[in-house]
Amino acid sequence: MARESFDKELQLLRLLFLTAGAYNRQQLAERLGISVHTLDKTIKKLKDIQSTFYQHVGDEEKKEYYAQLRYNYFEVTDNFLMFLYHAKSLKDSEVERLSHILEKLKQQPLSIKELLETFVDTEPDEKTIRQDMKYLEEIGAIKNVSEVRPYVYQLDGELLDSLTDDELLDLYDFIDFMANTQLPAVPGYLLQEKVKRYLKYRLKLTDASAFLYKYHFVSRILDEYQALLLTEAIRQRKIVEFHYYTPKRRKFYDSQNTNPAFQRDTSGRHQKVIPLRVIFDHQYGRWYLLAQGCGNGPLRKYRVEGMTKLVTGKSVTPEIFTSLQASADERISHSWLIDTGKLVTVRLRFFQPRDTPHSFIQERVEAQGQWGIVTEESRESFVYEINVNSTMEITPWIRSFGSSVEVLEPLFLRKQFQKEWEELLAYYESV
Amino acid sequence: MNLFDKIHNYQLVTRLDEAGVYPVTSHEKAWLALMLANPSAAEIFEPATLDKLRRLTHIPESESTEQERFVEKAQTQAKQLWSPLVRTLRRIILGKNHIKITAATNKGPVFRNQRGVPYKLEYSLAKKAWYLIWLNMSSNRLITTPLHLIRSVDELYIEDVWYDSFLPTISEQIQQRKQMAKIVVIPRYNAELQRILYAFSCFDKEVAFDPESQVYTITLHFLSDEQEFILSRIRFLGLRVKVVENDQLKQRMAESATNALARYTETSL
Repeated sequence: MARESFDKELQLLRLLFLTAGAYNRQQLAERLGISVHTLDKTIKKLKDIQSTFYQHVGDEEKKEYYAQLRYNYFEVTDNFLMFLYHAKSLKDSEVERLSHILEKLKQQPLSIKELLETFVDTEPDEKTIRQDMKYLEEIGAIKNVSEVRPYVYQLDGELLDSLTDDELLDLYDFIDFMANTQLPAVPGYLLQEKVKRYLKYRLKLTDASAFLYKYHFVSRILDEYQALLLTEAIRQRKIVEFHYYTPKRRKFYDSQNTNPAFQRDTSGRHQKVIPLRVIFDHQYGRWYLLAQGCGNGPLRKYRVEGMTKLVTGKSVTPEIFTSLQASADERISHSWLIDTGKLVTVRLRFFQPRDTPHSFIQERVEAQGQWGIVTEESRESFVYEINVNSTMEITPWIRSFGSSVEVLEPLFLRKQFQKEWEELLAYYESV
Repeated sequence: MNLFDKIHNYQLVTRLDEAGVYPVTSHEKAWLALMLANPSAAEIFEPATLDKLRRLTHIPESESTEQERFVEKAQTQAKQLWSPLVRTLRRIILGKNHIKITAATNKGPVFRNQRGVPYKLEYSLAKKAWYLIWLNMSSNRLITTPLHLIRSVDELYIEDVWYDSFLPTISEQIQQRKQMAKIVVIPRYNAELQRILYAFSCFDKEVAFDPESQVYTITLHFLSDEQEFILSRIRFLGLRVKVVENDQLKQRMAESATNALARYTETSL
């Protein structure tokens, strides 16, 4: 059986999430490079998982064609895109077997032979059960508790079972907070889901959530699958191959063209590179890969959301890899995000807010100004200075301060700001 | 290392839930171990609990020492990830009780011993700070107070029914504060659509697309106290977007542009 890939589901969810409601079925299918029929099937599958998982999906919403991808901030405290990570296909018989094994092992430790005897209606063969046990042991759900054969297995539930009620609540909050604020998050969300169900089971707590997260880039989890594969490849110094769709494209994905009647040009370009760093950009909530082309090309930058069909290949030697990585780190040491352009000194004068003792502008500059420093300070204003690779990536951040900032240097940036504000004023002058 | 694992299959998870079985995978434990290494873990857990958790998540053959980390850029530095008040307040909220609170405000004055209904704890990813959303019972207004300004909080035990009776008032006030704005993406920047949508992806929004004119319109839904952050996001995107509906935002953008321009026309260099 081919390895199940979730590229299509990931791209569909991303598209639905980012462009919430913008496209009809035809337009969506076209942008995904799939048939409307495949789109319908995929949506149906996603909705099925979503409504199994989340009780808050109302009947009305189930009837709607699209999975409900807008959520009420005050009602839904989960990361509501997480349901996708529960999409791995499983045959009914396998669901049956795995849950049977885990339930029995929860009651008491058993050997494989004893376990086989507990199956009443269906008698799976020993080989299948052994495979199941091997899998469950590998993922850490069960453990072998005997030194000698026949091995006896039990459920590894100590982590949750050994905590007091109070400790369990602290753990739940900790997981919730870390999954929502740190990287990586997906394993955390998966664990949170488990602890939430466990709290309900043990403490009859139906709603343990007390936290809301504001201005959260929830869609960042859609790329974590690829991001983690890439960091794994980096750790093993492995070359990766993938099909890349630049963000300026209109398409997000392409079907595998298994159906000859459904031929179309693939616009994704095949890439083969040495991955060096995976970068998360907090300004937009996006992921990047920094890589070196095989055969000394320039340093390459990819947006992780544009990658599909990612596979790992051969390893490169530690010496080559280390020197490539060190030089990439050097190149981005002064990047506001990932720009590797020419180093330039940016000097800005920020103005303290009037009629409030709360110096929130300075607080924000100190919190977000990365490695820049404040060089002068007075009651009314302060000067901030930073050396950065080209002005392109820092510009939006500066602009977001509006009239609380003045660009002092470089001169071309100062002129650019003057011109931009003139044009922006023209947008709103008639107000 | 695969995030899409059989053990997370939704049918299996619901089946195991019915049987009260919650297998934690080594992958999840490794994540937890990594998070427990964060200095803020010591602020959240009692020392004995932290030791216990570290022991239980210790995976001998784990390669976590070699953990490849992501590089994070343009991150807002947090002075403090956690606040000891979170633990106290979340338990008061869970227990459905009232609070007696003394706190300062950003404008300066302190209010003392106000009785209130704690509703939710909110963490702002933009400010990296915790807030308490609560209903002040004397003014009957929903207030958001940064935790670092709270001087003292006491729990006042009440019947759950009484706590619940305030919830309609709270959601009514939230409803009343809801605002809407329409923002268009200027078509010459359509090639940057994805980046623009990403920048707005932390808001509650809908997008409409007119194939004729190739114009994308983003409708944002937000609460009135979020206006400042929305404005900074709109300025962030500069000429790429334009507010077409919401007079207050338009007005503020016009002022912003006028004042910013004045910084450059009076030659202050």
